Amino acid sequence: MDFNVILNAGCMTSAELMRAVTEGSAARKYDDKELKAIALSAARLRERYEEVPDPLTDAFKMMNSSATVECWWRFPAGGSLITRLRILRYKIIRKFIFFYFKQVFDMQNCYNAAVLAAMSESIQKIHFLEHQNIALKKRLDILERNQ
Amino acid sequence: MRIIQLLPTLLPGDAVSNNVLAIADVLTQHGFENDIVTCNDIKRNPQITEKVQQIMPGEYLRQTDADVFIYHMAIGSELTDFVIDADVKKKIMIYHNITPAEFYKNLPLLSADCINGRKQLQKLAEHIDFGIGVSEYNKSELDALSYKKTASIPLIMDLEDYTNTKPSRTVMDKYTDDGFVNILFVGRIAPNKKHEDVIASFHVYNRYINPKSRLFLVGSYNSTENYHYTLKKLVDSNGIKNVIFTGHIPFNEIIAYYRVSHLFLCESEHEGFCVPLVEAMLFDLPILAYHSTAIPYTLGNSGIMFTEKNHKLIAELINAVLTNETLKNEIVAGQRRRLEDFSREKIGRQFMELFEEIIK
Repeated sequence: MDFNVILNAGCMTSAELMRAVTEGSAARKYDDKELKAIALSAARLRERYEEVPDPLTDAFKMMNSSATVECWWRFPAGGSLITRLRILRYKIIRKFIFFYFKQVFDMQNCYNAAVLAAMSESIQKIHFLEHQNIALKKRLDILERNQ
Repeated sequence: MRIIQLLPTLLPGDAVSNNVLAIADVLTQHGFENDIVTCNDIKRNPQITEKVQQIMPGEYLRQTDADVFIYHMAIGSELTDFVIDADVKKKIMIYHNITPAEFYKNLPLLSADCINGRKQLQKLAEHIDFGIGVSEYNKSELDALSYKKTASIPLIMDLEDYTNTKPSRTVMDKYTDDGFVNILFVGRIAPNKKHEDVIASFHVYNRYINPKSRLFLVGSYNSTENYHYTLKKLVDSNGIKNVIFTGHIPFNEIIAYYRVSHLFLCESEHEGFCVPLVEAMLFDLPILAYHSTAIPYTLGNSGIMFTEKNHKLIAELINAVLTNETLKNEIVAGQRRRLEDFSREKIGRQFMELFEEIIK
């Protein structure tokens, strides 16, 4: 479809307005590449919308992924002879003191799980309150209008 | 004779709800006993009824002795089945239009509502005695679905509400007389309203013609948060300046945005009526609108419509209107004449004449 204008005014016809528009456009130095880019950006919106990022949820996901502290963590493989001997020393010492620090790790992991649970409840509560806030704002607007 | 208006949710401020309240007022003035029933909860409306309905819609409707139902159809709801099954003398439907589901393909829940609504609209055809479209466009959809009898009556709007409300001082002080040209679009942040096209056209105007310009996008993005977020990303990633999303704001702020603006730009691709066009007429904002669906009906011979979304030419059109005082004044004068066709008294009279004809 061509670009046309529909105008009902005594001072100007649609054709005259159209002429003014095209003359104005011809006189201006438009960057066609830029115009195409913006039109394309707008058109692409129809294909997909982005998910609204929720910083709280993203932070919670990060917490969740690192909540469990591994007591039997992996050592890096390879390296020089001295590095490998050092790692071997760590592995032997770890085996001897494992019975002691396992309890510490278990206590820490217990605490981390409890914090995660509290965070999860808090985030759900925040989302609920946000929705409630929006609804209350709308209601307040109605009441103010009806005053 | 008892009349019940039915709609899913009554929320004054919303175009459909305002129409319901206005019709209730008109019916009461003409001596008709009437009530409003909503789906989600029965609200007592202090403006028109003293009764408080605390029972579920189904029970209320089964007990009622109503003679006429006026069902406001703008989205699918469980009220449709009540209307179909009800045993009343006359069933009237006021059709506000249901957005085609393809506009909401990226918002599955809303898309499902639209599909459901369209199915219900089809189902209602053989049960509704008279279908009233709030525009010729809406009426034509009812005719296409073989509704028995149809007519077109615009929304009844209380325009005094707008002129009697004091605009927000904060908005007025912030944006008045600062040398900027303010372009406005009012409407829910919804995919059918094509905010991305308004933004693109504004960007061309701002970048190449008048850097001292702003775009106000006034409207709620409740339930379309993803679309809103994507629009914001469009603005940020393209370095588009001076675009302001207001979100849901109180009525006095909406009035203020109309008062501080210089032009109304609409590139919506689906409207059942488009109340903001009438609002823009009321505030003497020259209107530039994309020629689609009910927009030509609402504008009539007023405003300027364009037939293609060429952002460069739309930007030039904005400039042509704002820099030609004679043209701008003529457009505003034409809009004022068109506004007279939407006066509450006139539409109220049209509605009552039709209503009395239907119930004869």
